[in-house]
Amino acid sequence: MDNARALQNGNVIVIKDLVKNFEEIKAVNGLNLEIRKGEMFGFLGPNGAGKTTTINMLCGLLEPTAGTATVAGYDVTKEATKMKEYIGVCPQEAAVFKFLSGRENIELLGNLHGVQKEILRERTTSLLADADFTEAAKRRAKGYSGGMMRQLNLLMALISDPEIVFLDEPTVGMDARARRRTWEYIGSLKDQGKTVILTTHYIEEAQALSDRVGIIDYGKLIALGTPDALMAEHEAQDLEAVFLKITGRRIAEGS
Amino acid sequence: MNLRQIGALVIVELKKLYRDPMSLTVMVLMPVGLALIFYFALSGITDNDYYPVPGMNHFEYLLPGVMGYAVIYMGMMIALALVEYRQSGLLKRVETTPVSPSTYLGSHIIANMLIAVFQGLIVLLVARVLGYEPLGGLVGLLLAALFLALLGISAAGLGLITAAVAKNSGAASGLAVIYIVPMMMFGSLLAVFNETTRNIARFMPNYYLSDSLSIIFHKGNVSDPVILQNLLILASITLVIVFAGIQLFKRAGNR
Repeated sequence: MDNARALQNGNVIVIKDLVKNFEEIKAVNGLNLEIRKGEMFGFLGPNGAGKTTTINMLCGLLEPTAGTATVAGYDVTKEATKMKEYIGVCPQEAAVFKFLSGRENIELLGNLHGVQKEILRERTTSLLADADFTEAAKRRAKGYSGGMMRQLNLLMALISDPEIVFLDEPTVGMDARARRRTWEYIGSLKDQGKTVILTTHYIEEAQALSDRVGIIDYGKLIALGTPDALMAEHEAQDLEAVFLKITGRRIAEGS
Repeated sequence: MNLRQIGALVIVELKKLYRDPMSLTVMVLMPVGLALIFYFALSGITDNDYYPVPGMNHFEYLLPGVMGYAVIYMGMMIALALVEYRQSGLLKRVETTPVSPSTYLGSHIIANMLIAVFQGLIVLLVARVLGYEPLGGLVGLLLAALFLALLGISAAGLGLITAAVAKNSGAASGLAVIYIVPMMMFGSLLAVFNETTRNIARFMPNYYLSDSLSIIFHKGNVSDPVILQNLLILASITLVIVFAGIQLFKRAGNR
């Protein structure tokens, strides 16, 4: 993080008393959290628990009702434009320009992030080769399958070589094989030293990928720790059982 | 505003036009079709006493208005594009990059301005092929391009307002008709008939284009002070519409 602000105790994300209300609904309710540089952090919780709302606030898409958050040392509300130089976001919906080719979509995001022309060309080629997407990227996204759209969605988030990557339900709608392959790819991001924040409602995904997991329910962080520590603490065999023991509900049942 | 970001986004909008059959049809065939329809319907009508030049036909008389008519539809096109981008998550995706909302909306406005000039000049070109000889020379042509560019920016501003208010593409189309029809009827066509309609037309931005291009192309008087006066009025209206459009669209956010 060459040009980012000095980090607080090595934390790239610092969230203090974060609140987001949508009229009467408290989508995020007093969240406190710190995420360390190079960490793979999983936000786990049922649909509607507040995971995406939290991510949207951290990416500068939503203004918090109360509380503060810094990403890469920058306040997400007051210094959003600067903060966005350090992040890559893979949104939940496959947000791609269908009339552009896969390569053009990736290069567009690179241009918007200000990646130098020469570097952009090389990096796009390398990203596509690593993801085995070179041939597909020559075609317009209009003809892509749902899985290919999601793969492109992920590659677009990585073209700026961001220090911090937000992945919002990156494998929703993928078949088991594509999901495994995407997990491997996400795992490789950690090897590159990136901080990855992943939201998911798949237990297996959170368990397989995350160094630490934050379980969120009704906008509150109800458990935090490594998957092994959480399972040991609650004498549970997986994170689903952890959630069940804490809330009396299964994650799939929702809130 | 970052020129590279604007350039990349303008290119995307232009690619969308020439790669999407529907958009391409609207962009090229509509002005050609309009010119042909008006030619075949009205070129046989001649010698009305309100013509500024004796001997002209009604098609020639209305031609400046038809040029503006081709441009005002762009308001609906930009509204539909922005609503679609919002619904597909593309606006959110762009918002996660360091691109400011003004840069993003500015790129739409610039793309629209270029298209407006192109469309207006297509009408003029078709009229030329059909035998119309516009006066005013190169200066007249440049002035026409300037008026078309301003009207294109106005139309883009109206598109932003429409997209800010409309929740979906159906609503956007319906709302656009509310301003397109009066602009078409008063600003382009009926304003010529009596003082009442002319007074109503003064509230329509395309009236100032129709009026000025009539002076330029029919009389060849490029230094007529009315042209400068119209230019200033159109520029002021454009400024107000675009400012309102950007503010409303920013406020509406991603909904």
